[in-house]
Amino acid sequence: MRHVALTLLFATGCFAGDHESGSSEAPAAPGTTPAGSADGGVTARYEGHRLSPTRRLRRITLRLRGRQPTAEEYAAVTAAASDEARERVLGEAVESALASVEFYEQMVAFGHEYLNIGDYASGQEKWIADAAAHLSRCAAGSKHPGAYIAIGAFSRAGGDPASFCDDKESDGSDYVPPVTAIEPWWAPGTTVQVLGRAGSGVRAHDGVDCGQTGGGIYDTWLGDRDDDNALCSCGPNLVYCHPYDPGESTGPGYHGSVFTPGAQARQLFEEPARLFAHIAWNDRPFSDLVVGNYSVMPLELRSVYVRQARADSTNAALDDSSWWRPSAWSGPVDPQHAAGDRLAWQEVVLETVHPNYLALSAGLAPSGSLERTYRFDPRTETGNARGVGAAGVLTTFVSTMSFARERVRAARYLETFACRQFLPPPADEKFNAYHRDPATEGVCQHCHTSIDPAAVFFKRLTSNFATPSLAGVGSFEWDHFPDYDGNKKRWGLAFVGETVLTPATTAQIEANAEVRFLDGLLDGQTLFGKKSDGTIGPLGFGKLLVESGELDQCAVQKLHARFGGRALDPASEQPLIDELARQFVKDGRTVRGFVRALFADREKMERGF
Amino acid sequence: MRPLLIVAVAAAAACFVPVGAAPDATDAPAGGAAVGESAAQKSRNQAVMTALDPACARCHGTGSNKPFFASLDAFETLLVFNSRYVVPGHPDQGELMPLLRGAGSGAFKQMPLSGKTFAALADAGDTEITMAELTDWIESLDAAVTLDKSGANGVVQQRLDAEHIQRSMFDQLGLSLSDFWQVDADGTPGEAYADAYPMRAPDELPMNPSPLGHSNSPYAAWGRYTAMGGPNRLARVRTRSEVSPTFLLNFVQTAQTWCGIAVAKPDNTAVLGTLTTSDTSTSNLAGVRANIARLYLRMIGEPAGDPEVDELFAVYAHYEPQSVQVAWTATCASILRNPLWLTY
Repeated sequence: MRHVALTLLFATGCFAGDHESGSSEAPAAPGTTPAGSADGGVTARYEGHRLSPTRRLRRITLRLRGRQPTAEEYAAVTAAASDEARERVLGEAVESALASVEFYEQMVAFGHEYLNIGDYASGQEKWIADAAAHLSRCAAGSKHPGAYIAIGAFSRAGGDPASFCDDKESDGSDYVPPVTAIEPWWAPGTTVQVLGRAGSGVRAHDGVDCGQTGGGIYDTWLGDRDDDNALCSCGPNLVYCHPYDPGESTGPGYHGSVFTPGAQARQLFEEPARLFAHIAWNDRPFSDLVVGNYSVMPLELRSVYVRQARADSTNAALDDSSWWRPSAWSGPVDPQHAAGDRLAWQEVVLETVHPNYLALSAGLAPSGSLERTYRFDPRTETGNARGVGAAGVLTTFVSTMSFARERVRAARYLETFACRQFLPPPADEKFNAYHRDPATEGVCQHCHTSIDPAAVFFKRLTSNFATPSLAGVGSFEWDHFPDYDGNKKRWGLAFVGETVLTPATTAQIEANAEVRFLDGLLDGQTLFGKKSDGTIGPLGFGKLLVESGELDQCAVQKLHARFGGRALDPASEQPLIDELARQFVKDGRTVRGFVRALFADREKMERGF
Repeated sequence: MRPLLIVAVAAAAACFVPVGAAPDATDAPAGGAAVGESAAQKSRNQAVMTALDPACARCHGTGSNKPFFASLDAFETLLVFNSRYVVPGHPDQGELMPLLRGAGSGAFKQMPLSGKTFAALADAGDTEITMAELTDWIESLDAAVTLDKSGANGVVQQRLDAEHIQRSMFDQLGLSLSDFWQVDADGTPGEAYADAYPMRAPDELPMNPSPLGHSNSPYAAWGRYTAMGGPNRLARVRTRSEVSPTFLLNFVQTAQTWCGIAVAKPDNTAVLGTLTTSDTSTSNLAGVRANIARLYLRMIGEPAGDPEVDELFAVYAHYEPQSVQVAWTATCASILRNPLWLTY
């Protein structure tokens, strides 16, 4: 109990006496302690205290808007002539707070706290998150001021395209580059000048897919950079490329810093919390957080997903899609931006920017239905999986990259969404010997009995040169990876047969290497005491979270801590948690609904001083 | 999740039956979370809990994922009257007995987790209760018992978190970013005024994209923010709301400094209101007291009575001989250090 904290405050000598109103009992003077009380008498001294109406307004405003009331807001309460009038003012304060942009901002902050997914793109990764070749601009005094040239991505006979700005080759000889006017993806409705092959529109040649990038951290290139007969361009509407200028601190030219508003790295970091806020703000079911097929993205972030999808040639159709045109965008945006704003956190069905994160809905409509399913069992099916079902924050890039491997990911998600804790076993507890399966053998099983059935669903999510990819999907099958590849080595060690993580026989794996990526709970395996319907990938995990009631149980505890002022104790208040969860589901799992019910309980809202 | 200044009365505390106490043979209600349960039944549940404790409590105690043995209330609400594990009157239903026999249907196949099952240990005489006794116990449970859903009673009070503190002091003291930083035309903070005790969240925008380019400017501000429990979300450090010595040290210094800045800031009416530094307790006593009352309502959220104004006026009057500015700084800081400002 934190009674010590109050004692500390009293010790500062700043407590200014009794401020309680409405109570029939005057509290004891500070410093006096009823004899024999376990908490220093604080409970006995202050139980029965009730907040005054103005202090209640303060609590409402702090909890919902993150600030204290203004003088005018206080005046509205003190001016009310009766208790009924005051209750109406306080009720209106709740409703206006729930409709305020401040509430949305509080939900973004709460989303960060709830999901606890950090930044992955503030190191070297930021330079390759966009997986795009880079375009620089000709200087103001050049022959083509403001025109775009590809840097590091192209060479014409080994030359430097920067010289094109002055109608020169890199060796100084005269060369007038072709100039093409193109509507760029990053600025729809405008036209830019592009010099050289970058604007030629060539998408593929001689077996080279120009839409795929390679190269190092600083100089991402298109597929045929070192070829003297290179022909690749930046693609239609320059979708294979990204403007880059290290001198800019804002706008599309500087896409690397997590400290820059509008930068891709910043958007990657914010996406999960923004999705959380979007769900709360738009009264979507809270379960969409783990089973929804949509996310929210500004334009730059869409580009990241598109570029990652294009790492697989089977997704080349994205080159002609309208993912970058505001006219193709639909669905709600955040209250801080207007629809069509390139910085707006616009709702987007994930499959429209990454075809391997499956929408599993009619017409690619946004959906959080538990009917969504995709099954694939490599033990019995040939070929590769089409992808995995999109599943809210579980399939955002930053969450995949923040948690390095499937077991780590599963443990963090069990903590976040099922309120699990992972503590070591008693030191003298005896376990059987460990041979190959941490979920059933050795001391590891103390935690991994719970973790591994969850980890199964995240096996395909991997990183490929610091960017996310899906193993065993499209081109990324087992044989795609060279033997020296770090992923392949790890899979060979971790995805072994006859384990909970990979419930296949060694013979099945030897017959088909893709069996290693088995990522559904099959053959009667359970999680949270429930059997899966066979849905693979993170969506399978999300569905079990929801269907078992674990998501709701955990959510109401966290929502109560955030909006109700205290955490609930499962050891002594499980019936209350069960009732709150039941009501939460009945009310559609909306955050606002939960808050309204909580704040409507005047007796509980008044507890305090 | 935020740690809380919770002072809760455990409703079931008065109903705890000490181990070894003679069971109450009456059918009188026993109280606690199980509603309608007889004292005899509760006593028997306590005995079963005590008997299972050596084999189970080390993994299922307080703080564990399934804290069945944290208390008798926990044992009853999480296990005894949880149909997932125990169905009163039907030992063959629920997961408890199969788990103890090593025939669990979920991810966990047996309890204890490894080695001999509880049933095997019981057969060997290594437990304090047998499987037959457990079966009898489940058969005796009253299916009509329900569970109290009201939750704990008691005072609930939270501490302002770092973000609340920063925003509240900005709002209530009439301060802004430019009082603490050199601010660029686009609102991005640059060099900090270190003596002003700036405070800023490590992930807050706008931020200079290359903090290292501004000497040590952001680091003291970030450090002050996290010392007051503010999160560092980029690094996955969550908000903390305990009233620690580190928090108090940083908060008291920051509050006093910011009050001083606010009072000295030209054309800032947040602290002095309609008064000027020419208004003293001698020349305008009523105005000074009225301003104290205004500040009290604005910052504490409570209309001030005479006792509150008197107490703060005593602070003001003590410092007025030094200067009116010092007096209002002290008064302002005194309000900020009031637990009623720091909590809600």
